[in-house]
Amino acid sequence: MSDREFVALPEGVSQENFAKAVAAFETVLGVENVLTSEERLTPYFKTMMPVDDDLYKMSAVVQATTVEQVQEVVKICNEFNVPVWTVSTGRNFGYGTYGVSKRGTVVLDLKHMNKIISVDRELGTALLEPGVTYQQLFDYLQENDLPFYLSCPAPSAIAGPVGNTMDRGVGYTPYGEHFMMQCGMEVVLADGQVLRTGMGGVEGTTAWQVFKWGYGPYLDGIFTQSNYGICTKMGIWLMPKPPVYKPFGIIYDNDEDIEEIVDLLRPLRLSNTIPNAIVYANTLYEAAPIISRRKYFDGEGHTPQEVIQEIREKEGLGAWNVYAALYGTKEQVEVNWNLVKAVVEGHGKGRLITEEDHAGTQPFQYRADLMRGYMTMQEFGLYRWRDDRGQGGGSMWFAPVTVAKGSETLDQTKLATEILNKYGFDYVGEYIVGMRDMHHIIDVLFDKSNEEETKRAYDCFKELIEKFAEKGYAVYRVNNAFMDQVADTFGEAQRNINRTLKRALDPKGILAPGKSGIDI
Amino acid sequence: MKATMLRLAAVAAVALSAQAAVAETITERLDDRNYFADGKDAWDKVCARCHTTVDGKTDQSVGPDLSQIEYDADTLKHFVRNGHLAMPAFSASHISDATIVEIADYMAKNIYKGE
Repeated sequence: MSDREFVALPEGVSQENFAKAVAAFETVLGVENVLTSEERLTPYFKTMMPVDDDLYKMSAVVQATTVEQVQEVVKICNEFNVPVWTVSTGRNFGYGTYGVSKRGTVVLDLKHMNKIISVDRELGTALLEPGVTYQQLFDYLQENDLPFYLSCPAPSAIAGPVGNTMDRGVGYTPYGEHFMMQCGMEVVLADGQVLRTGMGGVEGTTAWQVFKWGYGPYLDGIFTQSNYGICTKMGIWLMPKPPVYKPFGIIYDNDEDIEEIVDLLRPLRLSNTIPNAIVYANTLYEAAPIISRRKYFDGEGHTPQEVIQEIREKEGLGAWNVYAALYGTKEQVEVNWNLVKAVVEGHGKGRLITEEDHAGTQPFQYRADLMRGYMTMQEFGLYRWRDDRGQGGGSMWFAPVTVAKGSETLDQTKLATEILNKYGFDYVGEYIVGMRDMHHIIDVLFDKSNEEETKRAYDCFKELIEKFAEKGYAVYRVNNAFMDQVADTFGEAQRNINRTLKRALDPKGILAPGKSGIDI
Repeated sequence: MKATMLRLAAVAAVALSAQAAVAETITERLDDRNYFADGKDAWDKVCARCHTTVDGKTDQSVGPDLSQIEYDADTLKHFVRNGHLAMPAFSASHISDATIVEIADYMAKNIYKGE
């Protein structure tokens, strides 16, 4: 019987067997790369989910830096029936941070597996390991005078392209649909095999990072938002830096404007006149990165409408604050800017703002930074929205996807606001509108240091998923506490297929059990 | 004939090496040369993203102003490793213990405004 103590144990694994597994990890990785003490594990415990973090606590963290080590880890997990949850940077705050799906799962932290393996200057491709952060890649491009833009999500600097793309996250440049701009990956499977997708299986290929589809079934997709394999390399495409970059905003003063303006601007996006996703940020999403609501409201419950109006007037914000950008040569940008102006001024309701008058001011500056892949974390002001220096720290992204039509917006905004307000929370939302789809991104912000409020946030989020699903809206991504509920909204057939694939690829169910509601 | 063959081989060798130089640039692991160059680098690339005022407007700062108190390395480590309310926690794989000491030193000399 081992006398070694652990903060948690994987379900169904005895202390003795887990101690043997840990000893095996230490032999392969070195003792310093196997974390089991409370002190060393503490940074991995904190999440922003509305749950007791103890329920999502890992039993150990193991750090690998090579494919061979990952294969050995997987082998040990199979031998001792120890589940393993892989993270690259663990900075997915609104979707679970480092939290595992089942208490006692081991976390495989690939942060130290951080080589920028190659960047092709002529083709604009990069091959990366999982631990590479956007900051690291940004620095590399600058230091080597490689004229490309990154596309990063709001956590930018501290998050990483591989992890973000594996969860099908988005950015704000024309390359913002990250999984679309991914090309080829290397995956360690549950049985230890190493698969290179797309053209990667061809000996001596030079096309691995340029042609997505390969031959036969396209496999990259099944490894995203799933638990079928561990990604150890990923190819991405980099946008050539344009000669001219022109970010702009349009301010609309009325809540009802959203219906018209989504339809108004959609043709500009469909024609690629505006080549990046257009963001329509509601007042509080625009305000939260720069102020706490305590500046105007110190009460309980949701922020009253008259206070929201006061915030608009005194902070110079609209009911809807639109952001987009133009990219290209001087001539191209001039032509497209005239097209944009003609549409906006012809409509007559919006006020255009540009870098000429708003550079260096927030929130314009951080939006402009994100739309060219610069590093900024200004959007994290959201986390202290409810109280600037006291409470906070609770956040969940509720992100239903729908068709890019104005007719979808008013009802969705109204429904979300009603549910959030009912539970005492604010509607802090924006629409990220692509060519044909619309991500309705809502941050459910709450005080995690308050137990009662945390419970309310949980109930609120559950109801959001339920009520939106009744109307045919489902989310594209979710935190660990709600993965099963969301999986149900996609129907029994999809759950069955996912289970079938899981049983085939990971019959013991050791890789991230429960991720996206997928189990053996 | 032999000269032609040698010339062809030389051209092929140059072409091959040129192709390799463009397509493959294996870099060392970032940790091998320190993730952050020094305390200032770590401060600028992580801490200052949230703990800096924008145009002197403290209410626009994401996180609290850290210039009013001189923080020692142990105190900084507590906040970095545990997080605090809205601030997330950072593991040693992100910010090592040694880097925290460098950050504390940099902050004492460059951020702390004194009494």
